[in-house]
Amino acid sequence: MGIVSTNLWSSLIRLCRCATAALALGAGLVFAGPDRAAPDLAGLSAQAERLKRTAIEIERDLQILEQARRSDKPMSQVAIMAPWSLAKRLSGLRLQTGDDQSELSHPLSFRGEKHDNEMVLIWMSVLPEGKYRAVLDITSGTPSNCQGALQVRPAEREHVFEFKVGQRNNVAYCELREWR
Amino acid sequence: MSARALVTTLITLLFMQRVMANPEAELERAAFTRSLLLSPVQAIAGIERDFPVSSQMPSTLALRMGELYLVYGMPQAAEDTFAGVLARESGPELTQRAWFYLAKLHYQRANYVEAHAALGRMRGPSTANDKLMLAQVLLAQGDARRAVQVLSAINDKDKSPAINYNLGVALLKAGETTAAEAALRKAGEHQTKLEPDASFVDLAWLGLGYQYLSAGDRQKAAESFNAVRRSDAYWPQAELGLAWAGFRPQISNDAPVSAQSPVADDLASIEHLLALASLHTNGQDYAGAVDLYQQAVTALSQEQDKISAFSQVLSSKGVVAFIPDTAGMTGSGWRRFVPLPANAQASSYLGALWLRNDWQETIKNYLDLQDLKRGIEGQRQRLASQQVAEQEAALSRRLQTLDSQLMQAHKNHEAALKKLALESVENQRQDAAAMLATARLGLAAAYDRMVTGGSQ
Repeated sequence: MGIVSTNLWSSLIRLCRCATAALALGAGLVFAGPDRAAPDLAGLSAQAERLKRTAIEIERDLQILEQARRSDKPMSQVAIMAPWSLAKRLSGLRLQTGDDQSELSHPLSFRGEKHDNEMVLIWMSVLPEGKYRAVLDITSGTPSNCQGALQVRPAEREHVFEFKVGQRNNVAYCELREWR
Repeated sequence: MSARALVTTLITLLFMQRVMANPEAELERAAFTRSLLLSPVQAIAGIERDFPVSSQMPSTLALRMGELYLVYGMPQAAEDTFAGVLARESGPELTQRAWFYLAKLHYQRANYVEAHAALGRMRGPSTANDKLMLAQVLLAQGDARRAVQVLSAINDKDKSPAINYNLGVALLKAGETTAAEAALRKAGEHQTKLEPDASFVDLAWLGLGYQYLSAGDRQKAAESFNAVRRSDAYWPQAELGLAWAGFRPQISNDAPVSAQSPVADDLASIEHLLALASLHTNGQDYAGAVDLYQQAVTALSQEQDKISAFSQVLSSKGVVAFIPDTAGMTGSGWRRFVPLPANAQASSYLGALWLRNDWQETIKNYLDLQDLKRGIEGQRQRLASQQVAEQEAALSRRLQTLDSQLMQAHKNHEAALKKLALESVENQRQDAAAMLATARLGLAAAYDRMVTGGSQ
């Protein structure tokens, strides 16, 4: 239904009610209730979309696992962490494969308010063995560039990498390390 | 080679030939089939699995993905996907569709300037629906004259009831009442039983009725109101219009008002009684007015009790008890519209809420989250069957986190729906109280005039 329609009826109905009631009774019928704080439906909608996104990512990784099991292709769980001070300035993560530099774009996973030095999970998925390069898209501040190599080894089923930020000769830097 | 093997080989060869001839079309077809057969989460995840490199996804499929996100209630993902289609300079037709969807997303969020800008980026021939969208944006921005120009330019054969209805609205707003009446009549005379066209037909008759009523033509107003379907959600407004026009609904000879009144079983019907009573007062039939006001006072007192009782049920059971889909009807999950509750009282007191976009969206999300929660156990079982301990542990943790987040979100949605519903019922209780006061005043005035012979 168009938004237009509702507005039109409301004004027409109001017009008719007022005109006819004023003619007949000398008073219009007023049915307005007091204003109350309405629930934040837009916020709820955004919350529902985030959960649907998470459910899709889990389902996708589950399907990848099932596919890999069918084809006996070794796969590993990969998680990437970053300090909240960096994570909150990110707009995306691009994962480039070593072979053809093609990009695997995935939404980031972190949510909510965190402390600046706290490490948060920004991305998690299942990847086939191989070499990758993780590139962070940073919206503002320093460092303005963050990327690093990431190797998924077949023997290890779970990898956790972290982006570390710091200062070197008064210049902000960023590097990717694997937790061993 | 056996006959069966030969047939299989031929089918495979034909299939391969088709895929090789037009791989993009085949991928899109596969995605479409998936969307019909699987749940939204499985369908979208499957396409994301097959195309992890989003920039390498064929543009036709990317557009389809945007549509899937839209239908599944993921507007942000849809917007990002359409923006991706535009960023990679897809063909003119796909670009056109992507701008259209972006405009629609902005329009739904009431960002009319952005919606207008997106429509302005569309190049090439625009369809009747594109023009309708532009006209709706212009109307929302208060530019009725340009909306009239845009809609008038559509060929008559392409004018759906929605287009003629919106043209009528635009013409009314532009002050061209004669042309507006013609457009609304044309929309109303469209023969269809299919939605949403049938609703626009009712809307057109309703708008036309109130237009005639404000112009003082009660006979034509009554004819228009009587054309609205009795089963439609707009009928109470048409019924009220009939009362103000001085006619009873469902009458064959359009006889003017008599003392006979409709059965007052909800607020709209009682308002109808008040309208009739005021018209009797106006026609100096004070005895008839007293009778109708007395009926209204009795009906409103009973109505207040019914509202209080329903409010108590709502407080204890919540809205969930009245949502049709929660009674075990899970479906495939591709729901677009949640039907009105089957319970007559809930339908009567919550019907107006059900027509609101944000209410529908919240209920749809509530049910979607419920589906997700139901699906988690199945995912756990699939995961366990993979027998890969490390990955199972990691994915299990993610499922566990999602499970608890879903539970919280579900509660939040439930609480918001209940709050809105209780507020709506409370507003109706206040409406009933205001109407009762009006009825008592009207009764007193009509009684005084009746006993004094109308000399006061």
